[in-house]
Amino acid sequence: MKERKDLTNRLQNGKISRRDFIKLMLATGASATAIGGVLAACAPEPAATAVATSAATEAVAAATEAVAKPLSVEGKLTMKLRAAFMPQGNEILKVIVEDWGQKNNIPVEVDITSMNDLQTIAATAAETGAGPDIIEINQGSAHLFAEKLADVSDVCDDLGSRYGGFYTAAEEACKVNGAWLSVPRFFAPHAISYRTDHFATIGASVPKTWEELYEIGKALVDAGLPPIAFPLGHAVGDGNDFNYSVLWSHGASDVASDGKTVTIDSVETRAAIEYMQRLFSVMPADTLSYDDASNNRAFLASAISATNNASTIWGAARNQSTKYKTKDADGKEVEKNLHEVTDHFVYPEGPAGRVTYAEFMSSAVFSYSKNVDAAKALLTYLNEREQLTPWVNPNLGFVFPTLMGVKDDLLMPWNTTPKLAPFKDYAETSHLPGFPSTNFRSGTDAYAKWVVVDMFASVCGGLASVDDAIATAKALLEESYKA
Amino acid sequence: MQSSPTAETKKISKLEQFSIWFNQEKILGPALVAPAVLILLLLIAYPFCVAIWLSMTDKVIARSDTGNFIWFANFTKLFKDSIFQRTTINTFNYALVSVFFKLILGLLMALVLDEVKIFKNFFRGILLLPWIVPTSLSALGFLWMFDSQFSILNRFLLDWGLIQEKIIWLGTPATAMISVQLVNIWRGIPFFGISLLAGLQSIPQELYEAADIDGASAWSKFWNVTFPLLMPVTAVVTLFSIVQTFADFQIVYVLTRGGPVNSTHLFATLTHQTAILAGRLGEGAAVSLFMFPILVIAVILQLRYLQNQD
Repeated sequence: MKERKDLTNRLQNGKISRRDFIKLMLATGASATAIGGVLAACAPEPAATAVATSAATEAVAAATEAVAKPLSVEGKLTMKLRAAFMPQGNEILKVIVEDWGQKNNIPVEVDITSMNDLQTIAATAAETGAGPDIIEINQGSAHLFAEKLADVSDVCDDLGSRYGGFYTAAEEACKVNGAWLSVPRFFAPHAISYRTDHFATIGASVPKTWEELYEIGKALVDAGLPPIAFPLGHAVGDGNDFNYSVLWSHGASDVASDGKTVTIDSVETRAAIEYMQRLFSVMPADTLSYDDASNNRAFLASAISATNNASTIWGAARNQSTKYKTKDADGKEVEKNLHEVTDHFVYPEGPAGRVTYAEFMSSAVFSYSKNVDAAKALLTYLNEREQLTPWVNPNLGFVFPTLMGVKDDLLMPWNTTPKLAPFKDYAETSHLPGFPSTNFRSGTDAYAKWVVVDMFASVCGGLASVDDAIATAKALLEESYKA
Repeated sequence: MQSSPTAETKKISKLEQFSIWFNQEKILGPALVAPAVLILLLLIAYPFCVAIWLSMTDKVIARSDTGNFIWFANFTKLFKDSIFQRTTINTFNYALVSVFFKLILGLLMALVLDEVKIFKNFFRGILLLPWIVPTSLSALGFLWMFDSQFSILNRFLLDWGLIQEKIIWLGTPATAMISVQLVNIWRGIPFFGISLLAGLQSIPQELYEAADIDGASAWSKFWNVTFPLLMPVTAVVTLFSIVQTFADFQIVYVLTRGGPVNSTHLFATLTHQTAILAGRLGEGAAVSLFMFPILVIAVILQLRYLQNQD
């Protein structure tokens, strides 16, 4: 125990790298859960997650035993996983996988890579029938690759029955014609990151509706404060997340529930576009060029007051002790920690309530794999509570489990850190492109073509009239949903 | 132990026989060309034929069936597709404007480098850098330079009083296109510069001396000696550049992903989006093949020009 305390102190004082820390802690026999808790707490501001540390160190669960049936693999078990934006989360994930390999005497090769590369890797693997055994794929890609994926229903049924079932969006993404073809892995939950100090200056409280958000945006501009800013560019995660959410929560959709009839030309769509135009009038024009990193950079540089994102802006500000300039009581300029004035609120409601876009990843086992059984065993292992908690926890809200039963676990970041609470209910209102139908194959097609994002962007950017933008979107959607 | 003289003569004569046989032009020629032809067939001709086949099917990624043969349906569909129409205009704009500036600036670079007498290799070396650095890396560097918040370009332009407010480089269709063209031009100038420099140095000095004796001005020497004699090299280099620029992918993929609102999509990036991300291989192949006739025309024009030169 003393040894572990020493290690924790060294980590807190920056005398040891996180990776070494994880390895040494494992050597002392500490559980992954405990290590995850310490990692989560050991960012620059430990106070916020003090609960996590104490709870984590107490919850030293017995090390999970190796799976009963001996597993064997041909060559190595290879996998490509999506990199989370929290380095500590990737590090512990790698250790958990390698640990499993050692316990089961299976050589594993883990490669953690960016989301955009994964899609190309998966498409190539599916078409050529060669590649890693497990690839993490995004959104409704399981529908795209359906024929080339191994049936993982046994894994999902087992996990689902043990942990309260999967969220609807996870089922939308991974269940094809009644069979699970990919194991749901995580949501990258979104909320609006905002500056509490700027909101306080204009006397604004957290907005409940999109309309209230616009009013706040306007007040910020009037007060000469940094504006709100939401991406209208080809930003794979943030752009789709924001634009689909605005569309759906206005009661509009690209397709009817039959999965065939294109419904974009509607009163509701017009209302959504009209709203977006107003919102754009209080946003910086460069939001038209935002990629997934632009809003993070702008927020961290104190150039904007609110944007939609995963918890990574706050997380990065905390990890790196990012500063912002302000005046103290005597009017002297001082630097303070940005994360202290950064908080989150849930996506506002539209006329149709709160409907959000699911940024979602699942782990697919390709049927060409000669190691399907080992891959399934690993995926079961990774999604069990004992391994889920230590990985979810240090990701500080960037990953959200797809199993409904674990979100209330005491150690989950949104339960230990009040600022992450708004991410807790994200998955319940979330859907994939193709919603409200079940034609996610075509929905993914429309999503890949940026139809919804470009419809809003072309009107806001003055490139098309509302009618033209809708007509263009309609023509493209009809192509997508024809197949 | 020594082998018997008769056996040795026999051995040599066999080797000689082979060597005589192999040295015939009709054997040696094809034998030497074979490896290159094999590589071309395997890596160029085969994928090309597959692409033609794919473009006439409705093949979808990750399906076991090979797709239905639908003749030219993909192509006729593309003609009506608003994103494709936009992409065609973009590609022409991107390639023609970029190649034009690369040619002019590359020629200037060659003429200047030809005059540089000190640290010759040093200057040639550093000017080649943009061409050597991997495109995706330099494009990432430009992503920062064009960043709407932190653009160093804007900073300079503002400081020098050339602009009054920040330019949103990648946020409006016009500036986004100019931005990707700028990067392409920056990257392509050294290719033109160094190739034309080699061309310049192969022009016999006597011609210039003769021109000097005739009292020709610098401009007249350029126009009557340098330019015509540089033309063959220029034609070849321009051809290469047109082919490469039409097929460009990385700069746009890194900087804009085809945005804003598809205003920078090129054939290659649209192919990636259609075939890989949306999974429609057949249609994606059709997009990429639209480049083919354009490039064939470019090649024919250039080759014809070169033949006339001979």
